[in-house]
Amino acid sequence: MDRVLKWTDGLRSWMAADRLISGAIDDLSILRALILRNLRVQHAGNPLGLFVEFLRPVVVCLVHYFYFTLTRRTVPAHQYAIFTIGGFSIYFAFVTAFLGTFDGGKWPNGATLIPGVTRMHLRVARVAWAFLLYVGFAFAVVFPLKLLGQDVMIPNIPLTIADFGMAAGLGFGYGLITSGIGTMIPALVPILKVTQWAVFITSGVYDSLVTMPYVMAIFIWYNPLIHLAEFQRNAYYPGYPTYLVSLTYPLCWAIGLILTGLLMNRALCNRKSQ
Amino acid sequence: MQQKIPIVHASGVTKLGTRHAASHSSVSIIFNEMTVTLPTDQVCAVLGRPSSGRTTFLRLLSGAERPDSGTILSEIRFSIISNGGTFFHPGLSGEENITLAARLYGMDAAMLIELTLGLSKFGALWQLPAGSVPGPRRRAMEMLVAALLPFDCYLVDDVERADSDTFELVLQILQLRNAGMIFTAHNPKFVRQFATVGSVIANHTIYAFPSVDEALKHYA
Repeated sequence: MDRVLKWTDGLRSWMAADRLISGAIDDLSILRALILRNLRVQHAGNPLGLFVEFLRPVVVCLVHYFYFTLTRRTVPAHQYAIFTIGGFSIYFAFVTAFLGTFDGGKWPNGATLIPGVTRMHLRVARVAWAFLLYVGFAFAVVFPLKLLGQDVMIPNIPLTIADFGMAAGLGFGYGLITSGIGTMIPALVPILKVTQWAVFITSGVYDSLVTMPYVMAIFIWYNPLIHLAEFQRNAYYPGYPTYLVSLTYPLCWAIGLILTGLLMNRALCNRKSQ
Repeated sequence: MQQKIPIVHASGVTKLGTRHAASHSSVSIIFNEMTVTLPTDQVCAVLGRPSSGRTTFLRLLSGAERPDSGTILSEIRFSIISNGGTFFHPGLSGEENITLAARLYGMDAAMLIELTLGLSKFGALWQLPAGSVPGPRRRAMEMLVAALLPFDCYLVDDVERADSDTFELVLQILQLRNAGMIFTAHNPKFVRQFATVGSVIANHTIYAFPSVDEALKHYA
């Protein structure tokens, strides 16, 4: 009898795991379809197509590369190219995920009428694209730089994926919280959007923690994006100093923001349906 | 393979609507403690006067809206609501929208496009952005695409507004795949013509009847 009970328990847990896996596969196929739909809508009639997605980071990085080179800013190891790319690609991943979460569920254009597709799928699809685009950019950018004679290596793969995953996670959590607060108090939306600029200035795109004045560094250290930017620079150039930053700090921020955002989102959904 | 039970059971469902313009109140009751069981393997008509909650009922079945209290139990998979708002993205062409639907349901997009275009009479309209296609045509195109997707029961809102040729074609497709349909109507003529089972929305609840004639008698 015990053996039969054990067998049925095993079968039940196997069936639960099977349901979980098939649910995850369904969710992934929904995300894939929504990402491709967003891209088609955004680039409909554009002859450059998907290439346009890479244009913004390329232009911004080029402009700043020349700016850093001309002003001869003190960056560790004088690796202006990796300094620029490491900082901006992380910030762009964050801000694209943030704006995608903030706006993603607002105009479903019929998608949420399709059984199984929710507003959260629309948001996660935008975040997933932000992650994929900037991870792709971080790797793809190495090849033209090599052609231009720059001493750049292919970045450390696990570190790059972890960095961009956390940047996208921070953007997702921050976007959920911002849109939640915006739903409760709409007057606060412009103020919340301005905070995005404060995050940008302190995200380490212009300075490294190692070389900036101590008075600035002790405040800027609290921005989790500067930790990710420094580690991304280290992923390109292993000699880049990371002794002042940690990956645990942005990870805790990302988990905290996502959990708070999801709880807020659930509370708002329950309030709406009451 | 285990057979799914072809019914949907709403138990004690209450749904409130907001901002009822006629009564100047901020909240209106659409369904109050409604309990009803409907078959999902037949063509079931839901009769109701305008603003009685017909679209809301379909939205509750499809999962697009949740009841304020009570539960809706069913093992089967309901379709997109045809005729009840657009599910095509206005910036994409009909063909591109079919591709999205195919991806979502793990179907071969090229096969689904070929099948849809072969069955429809809309020709070049499938290449235009859905937003520029006239409303009745777009609704008909959406209804046809929904009918070719693998659902167990199809939901059609306001059958009087549907393109009659496409609706008859959809009914034939559903018959071939042994799927059911729940449609809403307010004109008894369409119910008598297409439905096999009837139900009526009245007094903030739904009354199910075993035959169309009984439903029509109650509706009158």
